[in-house]
Amino acid sequence: VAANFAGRPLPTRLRFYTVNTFIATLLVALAIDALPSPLALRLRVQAILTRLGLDQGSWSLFAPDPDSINLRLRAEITYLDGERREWNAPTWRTLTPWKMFIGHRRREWIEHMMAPESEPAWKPWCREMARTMRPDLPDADRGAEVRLIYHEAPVPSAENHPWPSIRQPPGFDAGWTLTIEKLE
Amino acid sequence: MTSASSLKATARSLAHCWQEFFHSPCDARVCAAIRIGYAALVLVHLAVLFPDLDHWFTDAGILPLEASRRVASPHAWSLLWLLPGTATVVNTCFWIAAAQAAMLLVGFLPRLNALCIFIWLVSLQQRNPLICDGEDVAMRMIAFFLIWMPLGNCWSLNSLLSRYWTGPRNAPLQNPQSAIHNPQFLAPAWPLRLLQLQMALIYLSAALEKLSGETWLNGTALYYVSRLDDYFGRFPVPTAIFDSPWIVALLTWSVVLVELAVPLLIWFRETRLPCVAAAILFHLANEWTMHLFLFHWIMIVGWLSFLTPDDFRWLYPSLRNREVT
Repeated sequence: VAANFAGRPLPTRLRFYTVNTFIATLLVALAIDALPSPLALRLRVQAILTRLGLDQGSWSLFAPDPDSINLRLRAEITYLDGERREWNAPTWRTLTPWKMFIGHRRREWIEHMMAPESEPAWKPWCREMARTMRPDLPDADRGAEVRLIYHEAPVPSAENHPWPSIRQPPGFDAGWTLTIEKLE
Repeated sequence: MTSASSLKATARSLAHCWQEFFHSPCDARVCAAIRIGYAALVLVHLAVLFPDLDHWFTDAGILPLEASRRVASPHAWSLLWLLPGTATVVNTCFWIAAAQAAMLLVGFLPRLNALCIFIWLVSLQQRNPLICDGEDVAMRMIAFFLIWMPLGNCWSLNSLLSRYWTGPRNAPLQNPQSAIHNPQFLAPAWPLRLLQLQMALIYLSAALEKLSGETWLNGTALYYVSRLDDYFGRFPVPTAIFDSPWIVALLTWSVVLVELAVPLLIWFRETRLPCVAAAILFHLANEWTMHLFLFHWIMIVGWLSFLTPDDFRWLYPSLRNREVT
């Protein structure tokens, strides 16, 4: 391919150069985004890649260390009329593989909700929860107060032997308030 | 003088390697196989989204437009930000995307449809990034590389229609094995090479991240992973495996070893097939034990880019004998 390239017509050669430039630029950008690189450079490249829909970041699959805490979310809803309802995230290990498969997006949502970066989503989620917990009540969310609570079940340190069995269900603590959303 | 000519020779040699690597022809059937596998996974992905479309993507749902813009990256874009956030609009967009995934599957205008799928995936993911994870990134990246691939050369409605219009003179030769004897199966390799490099990048990035963690080095990482009840325990595994420290340590180190070795050794002729086999086995084992939706299937489709039709010659002993005679 390369040997016969020099004698090709100009448009073919231009196309060749364009493709090679595209390949090289893309590879450098993707490598900076996904592999360890200086933070300032990485942020600049990520901004460009995000605009192109090509941002991927580093692939931290259970890394640098896997989580060592099981988390659960719960919500206590107090309606304007004084009625109280409670919502609980599913107990994952009781669900069938099929339910886990089709409920994958809900699981991702609940996991993201525990991160502070998701704060803008807390109020609309609480509003939606207040509505769906009392579908019979028109404008059920109006004036309701929703308390989001998360429960932790730390996995015992691996240094402690014997290890708990994988079949042993996690024991959750009494819970911490993530936020209290007062809905107008 | 010697060093200058040596530098020149090195540069020329590097340029030659580059051209050989990216511009030698590849077998378009590999691209077609990736297209079919990928489009099938996109359809499954969309089917799972369908019951909750209004919930995830409309302004009346769980994440209205304003909140969506605040949780997404400031540099992100989404077609769904520009369109009205009503159920009708979101459902219309969904059915267009599903139709385009089906057209990609059968190979009708496949590159155009790959481009549209890429745009839809970016739009859906940025409209609600809080329901996305690594598999969505992998799915989006593969869509991007498909745009550049010769997806319609074979096993496609495009090639069927092209044969219908041009007549039997240009029909592909009858030997299904040899791309060398069949120009229709030959295509530029660079888009396939980009996908291969992307797959290697994912593994290398994951391995380097793990090497900076203490638990992956001391062999206890999988102890913690196996006790996370939202990920682990998809199908039954013998309890003893994950309750035994030395087996867990071996498994933990083998994960790092696979993620580090595969992206480096897969480029050599002698180690290519063992690396592909290791990667596929690795994903199938994870698929058995963990709830990660389509992630492992998307990765397997990506690793298919390292296979060639010649790897399946053993499936056609009669044809092989005929070729020899």
